[in-house]
Formats: sequence, structure tokens, C-alpha cells
Amino acid sequence: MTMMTITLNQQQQDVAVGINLREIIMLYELPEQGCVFAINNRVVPKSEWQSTQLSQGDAISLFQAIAGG
Amino acid sequence: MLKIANKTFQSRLFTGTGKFSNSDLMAKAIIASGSQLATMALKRVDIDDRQDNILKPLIESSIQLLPNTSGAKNAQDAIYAAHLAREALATNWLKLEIHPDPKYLMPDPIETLAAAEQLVKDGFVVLPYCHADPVLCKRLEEVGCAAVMPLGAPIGSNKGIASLDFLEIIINQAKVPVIVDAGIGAPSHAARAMEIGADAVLVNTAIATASNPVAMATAFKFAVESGRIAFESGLASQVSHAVASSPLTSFLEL
Repeated sequence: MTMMTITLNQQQQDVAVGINLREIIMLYELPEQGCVFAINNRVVPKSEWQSTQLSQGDAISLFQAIAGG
Repeated sequence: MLKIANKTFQSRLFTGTGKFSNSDLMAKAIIASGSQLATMALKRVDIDDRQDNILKPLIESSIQLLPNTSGAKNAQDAIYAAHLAREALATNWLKLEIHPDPKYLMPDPIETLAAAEQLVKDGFVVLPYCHADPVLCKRLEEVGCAAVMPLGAPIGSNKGIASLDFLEIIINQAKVPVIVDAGIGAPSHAARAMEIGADAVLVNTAIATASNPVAMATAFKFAVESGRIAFESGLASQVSHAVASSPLTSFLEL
């Protein structure tokens, strides 16, 4: 598999070329519910996960709901 | 029954999900509390230190989720966090909290009001955490907040209803529900807030960090119910001298 480097939450990660956001969630075994991506501070709707393919050098943010008061 | 925006609540005890030692205990305590609304937070995922999905039982339950904007230091941060939370949890309900200073976690009134105004326009059901400031609470109500959440005392301090006199003014003036948030450390504090007419209380630390969180949640449930019944029953007024409860029959005197 050809790999590329992306930046996820300021950390470099090697992922498969052409990976989409839905596959990122599966790759890191994260729950689909409670997670959210943002690219350049724009929230990406879940309906666009599948169609949002990443390219070499892309920077994305990923957040997850956690316990809190 | 308590109504906030388009939703009714049988329970007037709202709970936070932080500080529990594990998710099983959190779920059990929230069930014991009878709470129908629970807060949660949002955090950047650390791929090297992924956390268990401790909120799974809540997300799957029928409980109303109330994501917060904890970590936001200004209105811009909070608005961004709100939009993230709405997408992550599929709810437009939001606990707006902006506290730039980590020592006291005092809510920033100026940033909170600015963010509230924008978020209402963006279609959120905004419940702002704020100081027990009657003027600010009125302003938050005027920009369209669905409720106000003034503090009893600093977050996690367990100091109780230190802001009592101001909460009374807020409750007296409010046309939206008043939820006393932060500082409630004991069931008696929650009861006090309910007795003065608060519509609900939000409790986290006092339940989560109790030796027995499930039993403590039950104690809070009863305290909130008691306090509410007392409020609805009309508390007897205070006087500064004794008023005999028994007839003062002078049977010892001839």
C-alpha cells in the first residue's frame, strides 16, 4: 500500500494514499458517534466523511466527546 | 414539570459526567440520580493515548446530552466548540461556558454574552454558565438563551450556595428557567437552591467524587425533590423572635 503523511491534531501520521475521513475513524478504532473532524477550523459534517479524501500534507483536526461537567 | 426550549423534564437534577473513576460507575450514578440531562465535554483526540468510549452508554440512552464548551477562552473559541459539539453529538443543545482563568474558572460575562447572541442565531439551545449576576442573566435571557445557569460557588469547590442573595434576585426576575450550576457540594445545598425557587440544579463533583457515588446520587435526587416540594408548598416566613407552636397554658400556676 502506498503511504502518505498527513497531520492529525498537529501530529504527523502515515496513512494510505487516498484515505477518507470515515476510514480514519476506522483506522484508529474510534467511535463514529461523538467524533468530529475540522479542516481549517471548518466543521466537516458526518455526511461528508466518506467523500472527503485526504492528500499528502493535509492537516486535519479530530475531536471526541469525553466526560465533563 | 420543567420545560426548557421544546423539552420537558421530570427530574430537576441535572448531572455532569466528569471525574467518575470509570464509566460503569458514572452510568449507574446517573441512573440512580434520575437525571434526564447530562453534560459532556469535547477534546482533541490524542492518537497515541486514545480514551475508552466512556460516554457510550449515555449516547445510546434517551438522556438529553448537553455538550459544553469547556476550554474555550473567548467567544470565538466557544462558537467553534459549539459547532463541533453539534456535529459530534447530533444535538443543538449547548452549555456555553467561557472561563479564561483556570484558577477560579470564573465565567467571562462579556465573551459569554457575545457568544450566546451568535449561537442563538445559529440555532442552538443555549444554556450559559454565568456568574450569579442578575443583570447579566437578564441580558442572556434577552438575547434568546433557553435558560441561565448561574453559579452557586466556584466550579468543583463544594462550597454550596455562596451566591444565595443574588440567585434569589435572578430567580425572581427570570422568565426562563434558572439552573444553579457549580459549587453544590452536598444534598442540602441542592435542597436550598430548590427551596428558593431554582428550576433545577446541575451537580457533578459532589456525586462523582463521593465515596459512594451511586448512593450520593440517590441522596441528591431526594434533596432536589424535597427542595422543590418545599418551594411549591410555600415556605413559612422567618421572624426574629419566638412564636410558640404549643399553647402556653399556665398549668403550673395556680
